[in-house]
Amino acid sequence: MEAQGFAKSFGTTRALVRCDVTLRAGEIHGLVGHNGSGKSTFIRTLAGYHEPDAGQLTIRGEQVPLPIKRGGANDLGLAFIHQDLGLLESLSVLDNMCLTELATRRGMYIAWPQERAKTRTDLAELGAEVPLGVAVGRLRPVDRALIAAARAFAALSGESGRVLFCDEVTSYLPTREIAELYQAIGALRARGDAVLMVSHDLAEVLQHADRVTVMRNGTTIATMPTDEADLEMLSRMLMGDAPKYVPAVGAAPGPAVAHAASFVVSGLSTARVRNVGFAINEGEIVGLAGLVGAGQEEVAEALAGARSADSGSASIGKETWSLRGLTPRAAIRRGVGWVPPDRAGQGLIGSLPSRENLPMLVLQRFFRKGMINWKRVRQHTQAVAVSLSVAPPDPDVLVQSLSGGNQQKELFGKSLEHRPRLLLLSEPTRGVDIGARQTLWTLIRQTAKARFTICASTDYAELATLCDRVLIFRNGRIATELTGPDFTAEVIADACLRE
Amino acid sequence: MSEAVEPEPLTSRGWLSWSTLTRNGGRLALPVVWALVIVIFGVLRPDTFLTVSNFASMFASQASLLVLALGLIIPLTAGDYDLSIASVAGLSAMVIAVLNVNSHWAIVPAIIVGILASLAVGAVNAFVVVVLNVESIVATLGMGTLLGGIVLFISNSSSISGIDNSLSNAIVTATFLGVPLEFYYGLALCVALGYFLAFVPSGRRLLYVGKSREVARLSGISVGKCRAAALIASAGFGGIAGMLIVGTTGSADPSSFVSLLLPAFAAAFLGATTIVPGRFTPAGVAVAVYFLVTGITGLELLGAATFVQDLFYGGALIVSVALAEISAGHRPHLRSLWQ
Repeated sequence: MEAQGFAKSFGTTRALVRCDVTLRAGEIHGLVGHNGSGKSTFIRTLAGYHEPDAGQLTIRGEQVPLPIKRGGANDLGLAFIHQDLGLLESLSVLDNMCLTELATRRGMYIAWPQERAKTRTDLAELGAEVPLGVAVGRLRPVDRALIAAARAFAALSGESGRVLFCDEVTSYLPTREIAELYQAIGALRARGDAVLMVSHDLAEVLQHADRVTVMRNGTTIATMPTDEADLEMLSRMLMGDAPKYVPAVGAAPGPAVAHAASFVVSGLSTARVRNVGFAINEGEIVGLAGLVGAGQEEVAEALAGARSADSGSASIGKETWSLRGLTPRAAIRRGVGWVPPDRAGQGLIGSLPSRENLPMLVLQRFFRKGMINWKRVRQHTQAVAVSLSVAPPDPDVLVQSLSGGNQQKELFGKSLEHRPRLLLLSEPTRGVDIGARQTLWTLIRQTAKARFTICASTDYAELATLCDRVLIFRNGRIATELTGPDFTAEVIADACLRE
Repeated sequence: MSEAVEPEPLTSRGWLSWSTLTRNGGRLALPVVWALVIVIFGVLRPDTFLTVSNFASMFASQASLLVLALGLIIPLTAGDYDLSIASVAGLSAMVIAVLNVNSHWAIVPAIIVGILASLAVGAVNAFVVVVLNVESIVATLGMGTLLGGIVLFISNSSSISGIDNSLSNAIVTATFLGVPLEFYYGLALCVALGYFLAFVPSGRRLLYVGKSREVARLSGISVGKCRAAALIASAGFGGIAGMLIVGTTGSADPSSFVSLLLPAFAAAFLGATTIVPGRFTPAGVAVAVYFLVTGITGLELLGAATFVQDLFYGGALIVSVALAEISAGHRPHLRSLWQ
């Protein structure tokens, strides 16, 4: 398959400027680039989801007219799997495999023995050895990915020269299973098909792929065999030039100059994190960064009690508490506040007004003489909303009718109501407009003066703006720490990508 | 969910003004229809309908249904169903009857044991639903059916009558302003529950748990305890309802209580279309219960047969919900009542 000169704009945003990707039969091809480099837009264009503004597509020697119609990609021999595999966890392997085809088939009869046989054949093509009757949710992630791939492939006609696109499928797979996935995909390669793997992880691509294409800002920068490339070269191409600041690479850092009143975490282990420890001083904002799946998200969740840690303890000065079996309630009592990453599902109840959401943690404060004083609640809510520049600051307005930025400010206010000593922020400005982001950053810096603040984020610009120090996570451990007078988003990104 | 904007609380000034009425059209549909129904039946049968004794009996007779419906909305607010509540009422009634009549206990200890038995059932429901993680619909449906069998067993499949008069005196014989006291007991529970849900933090927490368990959990609310307490409370209300039934009739019947379940649910859901649309409220439930009984009594006075009750409960529920949704301009979506 040869894609040349693909371009796509959404309004004023140029998602793809000039994208060239060539896939040869019988190869595994890696596609790498930062968030926003255009990888996903390119994939979606090939899948027929977007119409490209420009570009030429040749498949197996024949020119293909663009745009590709919905469902037309299958006829061209292109199959897709995404990070969200599109499987129904509570249904069996057999049900999932038949799902897409049965959804549109007419007729009154399903011949299950035939379906079973066909499914076994389809799964065998990708080397997935799974019992047909098991619920998909109970299988390992790699098996699920293979089932999704087998299903996508089964929809194609033809025996060879097909292409499988995997969009960020490996982000959440454990290392062992990543190797397994590539091995299974190797079977496709042997048969003359091609596989395009989109991945954040440069090391993974260098190890398993035959060739790699680097994209940056919607443009293809280079394509080369992986034998001829190394990590240094790829990351420089990914970012544009050498980082201006060399991060201090070395052993995992010990606690910063800790004094009696530091907040210290030690021995924290969760599903994805192994024996992590660090210390923070009051007034500083420490960032947790890493590629998706590196574990930094789980640190914040464990400290907040949202997720139970396998082991670990936290302390402020002499006061210590265990992180194992910590509940949100207990964490709140210890003075921990958390701004969760999913404001709709974890942070706020959209169908209730501000006056119910904001004081949720501190309702007791308004309960005097056996009655909640709603008048005072509404006054207080309004005052807080005004101080956070929430518009409108009306306490009776349903939270779901506020804009994303205002909702996030509301959530921020809610998490501060009980005046926590430690404030954890997970993706604090996700899905928020520029103006509100600035306001939130200013608020975060203001409130950070009086407490310990940790910010776990995949937004490198945010980390660069807010944090005094950044801890870089890799494979569940702290790989390195960025300190010093200034570091930019590129420096953080580079540190995350390095091994 | 189906609230566009949280309605102004009815306690704000000028609540009788025309603008308030038009703005809050949907939420006042039911009381208005109720008033209309009273007028219609009053015109059609002024001699029998518009009498103090008729109203007194209407208000009092449904006190037990009101208490059952009030009990139901506690777990409903928290997102759970209690399909065993009518059976709990039957259990409590039968326990009181058996102890008082067959075992010659004094009435007060018998009542205490009856209520305790109800609370015990609630505790079992709470365990199965919260700890064993069984869907509340399934768990309480099973419990309700099980209790039906237990009631038949302890009563030897027969009615028991001859309950101590003092209970009937306290409930139905004594009157205030011409209306038997049980109406006021029901009303008192209604007000108390309304106060609890609106003005006490634990009551608000029930609502948060019902709207989003995950947000509630992460906000430090003990979700399991809330749900468990709700199921125990509903069983407690069931027990009180059973006591009222025994007091009203002076006897306990092992199979009549089952037919109270659906009217109680109808009242709970009908009540959620009024006062605060989309939310279960004690005031709404009270309006719903008395609207329903007014309609049924009126129809019976016009000569309709007793099957009219079911027609009325079912029909009124459907029509009322549909009208409220239409006036609010939203698509009907039942799940949105607690999500």
